[in-house]
Amino acid sequence: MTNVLEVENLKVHFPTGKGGKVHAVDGLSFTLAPGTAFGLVGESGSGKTTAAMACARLTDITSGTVRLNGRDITHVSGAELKKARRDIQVVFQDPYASLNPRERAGSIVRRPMDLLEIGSPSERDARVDELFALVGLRPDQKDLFPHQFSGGQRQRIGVARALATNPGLIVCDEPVSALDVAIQAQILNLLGRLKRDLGLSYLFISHDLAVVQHLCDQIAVMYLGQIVEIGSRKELFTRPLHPYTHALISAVPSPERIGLDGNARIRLKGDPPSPISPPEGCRFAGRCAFAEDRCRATTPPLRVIEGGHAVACHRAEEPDLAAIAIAQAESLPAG
Amino acid sequence: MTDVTTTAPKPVSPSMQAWRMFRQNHAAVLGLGILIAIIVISLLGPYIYTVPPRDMVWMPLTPPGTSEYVLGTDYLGRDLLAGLINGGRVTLAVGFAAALITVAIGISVGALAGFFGGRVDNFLMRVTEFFQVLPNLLFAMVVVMLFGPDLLNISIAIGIVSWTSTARLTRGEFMRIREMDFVKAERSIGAGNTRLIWRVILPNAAPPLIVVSALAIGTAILFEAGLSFLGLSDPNSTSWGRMIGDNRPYILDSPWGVTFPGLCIFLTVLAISLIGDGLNDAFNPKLRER
Amino acid sequence: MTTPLLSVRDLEIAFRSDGTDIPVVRDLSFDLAHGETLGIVGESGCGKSITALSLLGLVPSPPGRVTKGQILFEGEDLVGAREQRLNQVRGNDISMVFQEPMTSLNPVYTIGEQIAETARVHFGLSKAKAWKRAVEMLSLVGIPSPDQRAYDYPHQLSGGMRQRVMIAIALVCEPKILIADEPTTALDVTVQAQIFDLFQDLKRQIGAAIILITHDIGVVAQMTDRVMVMYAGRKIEEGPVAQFVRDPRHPYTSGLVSCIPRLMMPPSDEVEDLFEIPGVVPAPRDLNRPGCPFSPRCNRVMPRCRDENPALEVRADGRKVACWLETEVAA
Repeated sequence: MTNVLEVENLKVHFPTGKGGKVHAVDGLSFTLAPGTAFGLVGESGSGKTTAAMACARLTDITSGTVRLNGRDITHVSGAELKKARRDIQVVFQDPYASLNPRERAGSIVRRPMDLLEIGSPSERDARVDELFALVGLRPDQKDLFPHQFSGGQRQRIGVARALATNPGLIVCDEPVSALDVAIQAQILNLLGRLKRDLGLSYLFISHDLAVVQHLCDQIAVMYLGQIVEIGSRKELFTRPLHPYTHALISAVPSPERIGLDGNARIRLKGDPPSPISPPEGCRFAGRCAFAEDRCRATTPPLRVIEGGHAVACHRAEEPDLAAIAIAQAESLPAG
Repeated sequence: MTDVTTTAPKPVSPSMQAWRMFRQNHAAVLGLGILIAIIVISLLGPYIYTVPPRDMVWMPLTPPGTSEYVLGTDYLGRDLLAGLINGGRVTLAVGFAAALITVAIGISVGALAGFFGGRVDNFLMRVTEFFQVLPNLLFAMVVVMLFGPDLLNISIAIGIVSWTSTARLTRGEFMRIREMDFVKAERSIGAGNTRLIWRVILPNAAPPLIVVSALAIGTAILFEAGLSFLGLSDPNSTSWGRMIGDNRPYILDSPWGVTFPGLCIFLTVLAISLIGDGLNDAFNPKLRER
Repeated sequence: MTTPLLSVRDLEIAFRSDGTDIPVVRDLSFDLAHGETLGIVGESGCGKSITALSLLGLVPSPPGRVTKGQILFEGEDLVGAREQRLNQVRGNDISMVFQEPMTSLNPVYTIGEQIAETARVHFGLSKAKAWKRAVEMLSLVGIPSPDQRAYDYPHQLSGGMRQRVMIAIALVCEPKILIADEPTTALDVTVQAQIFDLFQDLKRQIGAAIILITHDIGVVAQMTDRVMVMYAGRKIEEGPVAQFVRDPRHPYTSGLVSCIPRLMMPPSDEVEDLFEIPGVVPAPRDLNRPGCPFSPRCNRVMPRCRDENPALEVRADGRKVACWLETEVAA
């Protein structure tokens, strides 16, 4: 069976005003199997959102290849691009910004079918009703405008719009991070249910490890435009390898960590280096407590440890790093 | 809240919200009333008050209230009231036409510059700056003199010199809105540039543009008055500005000859400003929250 | 018994709309002891932030105003206090850190100037001494090479650094209470962790009491001693943090605690759906209906809940809960 999405050596560079280049995404490769969710985790500036937008062809790609259902869509345009758009849709982060304030909910959901020419007008109307029911909205809310909905309901409209063309893959860009706690669960459950019932695949962008662990099957951790660790949910959270992954896990405020002493945590120093001129060697070395001379000198390649689990760290298997993973696991509940 | 209530709320579009807000602004509603009254009088007046505006009907320089021509006559014995009623048509026509041209050029240039950015933006902004540094009145006079002083040319001249600020505002709004997620969302469902510019971004940029367009009418009326005052007006039609210009030499003998048309211009521009103010408040979401 | 540092009694805050006062906070009472960290939890629209602002006399007025109750700071009522006195309190005793660090800093002054100015006004220091103090504060909040960074303008700093500057400004006067309203929501997780470490260190060093407003249960568990849960303008549960996390009593509290995904190591094999609290927080103007305001969303609702609003009951173990389930058990 072909993969839903194959990304090979994807690079997205933005020109800066002063003639430099922002290396937003710098050599990204991964594959996404049908019916699975792939999580891209990282902090602001890691390039996770840019990477996702490039896959959805909403940002210009500098180099590399993006294949959707086996078809190369890196440089397609016109009718070919429209055809591709039917199969890849996006749910955006902020439901207050992603819906046109001057359009009624029903027509927002119907629009993808109009623009991408799917079905007859009456079929489109019927599909809107079906989608409203699917995401938990009432059909009598079709005529309302976005400002008349709560944040959670708006995100349901966003999900319905993404589902309208019956795509195989949905890019979810931090779909719950702008929502209230109690509402996040509603949307996460909706996404989980849709994945199970419709066999959807997700490219899921998030900064929240707990959310990613909850929803994703494969996970890649990004730092400064590159993947530093990639593996299945089980592999990554049973035996995290990269010091940055450790730092992320350690920073998650968990209800289990009541009054946890700050000293028991990995403290990251400083800020990430500039993506305009990334440093030589390992990009994380400047903030890493385990960095050695070789880390600053040579870039560690992404190497497979076992199965699908790969890490870009010279020292990943050394005992002092492994000890950190064990300490982390002890402060968190086991599943 | 909608989960608790059993009946669905009524759809309220952003325009309806703005209208509700506008109605609460008494000054703006008053302005709208005055403007509607002036438009109605200008359109229907000549059919009801049939005194010919350009013929000598009585002794020249008759003061108001001393004859059957209630506002008096000018230096040629023409009825001032008839002049005002008929002049309103011309003034308003030029005002609206010039504003339309201003807005059409301004929005087109601003929208393209703001949407495409980069080189397109650079080029269009240089053009805008060129028009911005031209001395407005002088340039308009040159245009009118070159092409002849008829109403269309006057409107075009005013439009050509006053579109730059609309273009800048439009550009700014487009640059802001094109980065918003709903524009990206439209792209992701296959919307092309034409749709993005005219159907998606423009309606969302409309509020401040509507305000400046309303104010542009007022500015155009003042501009027309200025040109007419300097003698650059259509010889076949009388506008309020032209009346002031014509009666200027006799200001000491018959001050009413300039006062009444001046008052008309003042009232019209004031009404438009009040409306513009009201629209501004109605569209401003910060005030709406209160 | 000694007087608490801060004692809020029967506070009611209302917003005027169309000629009527609509309460957004009602019957709110709580105490804060020296050196304690109190968490205030709830969804947006529950009155958390406006409560915090009221402690500083900063309720936006009009349309808002404290309509009832007392805010006793060391025994002195701040409700109705003169603006001059409130200014003293804000400068000296209670300070606040806001959610968005960029908009809270003045972009045209260097960060050193902004901190020094506060110190100068507050302690009457000379310019040179105030500057020295500013540099000390920057070093205290963990900004590297503070003597150089003091000359930076806010836009030259990252989000985490700006929030540290905000904290430095808030702490320069050595306040007795620090109020932090979602101080890390705009920040990355690793930066959030740094800021919270900083809070813990500062609490140890300066001994300030902290009121932390957040919607993140993990943050609450890690940072606070005691938690107060607000729903629709009322306090519905209060107790020590461990009990809040492990044995929440109010259905809303237990909903909040169980609706978030938990990070697990190793992960579970099967993923179950998260617990859902259906619906949304009611708007303040819908609160005049009888019954418990949470009843339309509650999964354990009883007929009684729809008719009568339960009062806050103090349990035998000192925890406070406003829910009929509690009284049913007790009776």
